[in-house]
Amino acid sequence: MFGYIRPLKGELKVREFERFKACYCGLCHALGKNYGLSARFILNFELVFLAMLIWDENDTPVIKRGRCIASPCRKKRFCTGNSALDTAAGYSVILSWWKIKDAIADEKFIKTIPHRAAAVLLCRAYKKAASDFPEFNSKVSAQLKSLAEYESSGGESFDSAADKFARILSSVLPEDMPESHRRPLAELLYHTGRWIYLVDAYDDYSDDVESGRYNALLRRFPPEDGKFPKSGVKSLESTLIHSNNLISAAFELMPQNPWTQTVENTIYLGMPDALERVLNGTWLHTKRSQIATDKE
Amino acid sequence: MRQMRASPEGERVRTAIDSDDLELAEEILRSFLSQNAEWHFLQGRVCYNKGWLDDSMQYFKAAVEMEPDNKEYTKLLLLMEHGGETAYRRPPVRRKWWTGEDTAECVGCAICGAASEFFCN
Repeated sequence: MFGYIRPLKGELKVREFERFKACYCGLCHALGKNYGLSARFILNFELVFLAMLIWDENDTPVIKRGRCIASPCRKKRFCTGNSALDTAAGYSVILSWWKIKDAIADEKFIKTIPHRAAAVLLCRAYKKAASDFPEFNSKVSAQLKSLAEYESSGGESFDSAADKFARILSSVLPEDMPESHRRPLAELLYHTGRWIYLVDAYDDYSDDVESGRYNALLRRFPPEDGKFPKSGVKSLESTLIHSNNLISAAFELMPQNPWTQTVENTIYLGMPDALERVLNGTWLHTKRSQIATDKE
Repeated sequence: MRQMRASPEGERVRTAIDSDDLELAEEILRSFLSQNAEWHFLQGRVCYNKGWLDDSMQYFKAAVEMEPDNKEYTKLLLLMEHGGETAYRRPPVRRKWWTGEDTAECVGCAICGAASEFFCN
């Protein structure tokens, strides 16, 4: 969906990177198995991170080898048979569906044609995911509606806008989770949502100024020559580092699971690295070259 | 530097924040007669607990502008300005590959003290 939440590859051990790739492929397989071929195209790093966070501490990942549409000749390793992957797959479909709907409502008809085509392809998958996770579906729809209302009213506080998005992520926790696990995970997910929303708002800032679209950062940091003001970068960086620190603090209170090292790398190294690259304008280049090397 | 005594309403807001009842805290704050330094400080703490870190920082700045001698307000503003570096934070250890030395260093300021006072009680 956004792609900001990923481990820093160069700092992972080789076996951790291999397992991370297996988890990524595992989510793709879960999407295909549960929701059909079209759902495999919405695979994203954020939901792999979610799967690793909600993974049961007693479940050792089961890794198999197999071919898939992305790698029809060479067999690849993928995780399978885990409820965290099935949950993340369902949530992924629901989040993508509402994101597409949001884009259709926001843009002019001509620009929405690709989104409308994606909605047709994803419609059946969405219906199944909505029946699998009705509570999450209604929470996402309510929060995105409230965010759209806030955005159309030209809301001033970016914290308030980010809050509506962050609540979507913090609402993914199952009801039966013990309070001692629930509280740190809810805090971790809330600040991850806030961080993603604000980093994305910064990344889109110049485009939004040019097209006149709403951007949560515009009121707090008015543009200078159509760009984000240099004087505001430090304030924004400071509040995002603060969220990252609260994510780290919550992470330290969580029980360990098979993905702890990879999640730790993502929080302590991957997120600060992504932030640094987004703020200095090299993110898009990094993202393309990383995807190219990951596919090798 | 001095530590100001909180007003009775302020004490009620603090108790509500400590017991995580942010709705009650906001309700009491709405009944304050004036938006003084204490009001801004407490409003900042409510925002902080909600996760609204930038709004919280703006309130702390306003509180410090109104009462620059208040130790409690200045300490918390300092903490916010340093991105909330707390005692829990384990900085990533990036070693200089040519010497094996750690590059993470402690800045040795009042941040840890401020953090433990507010968040570890």
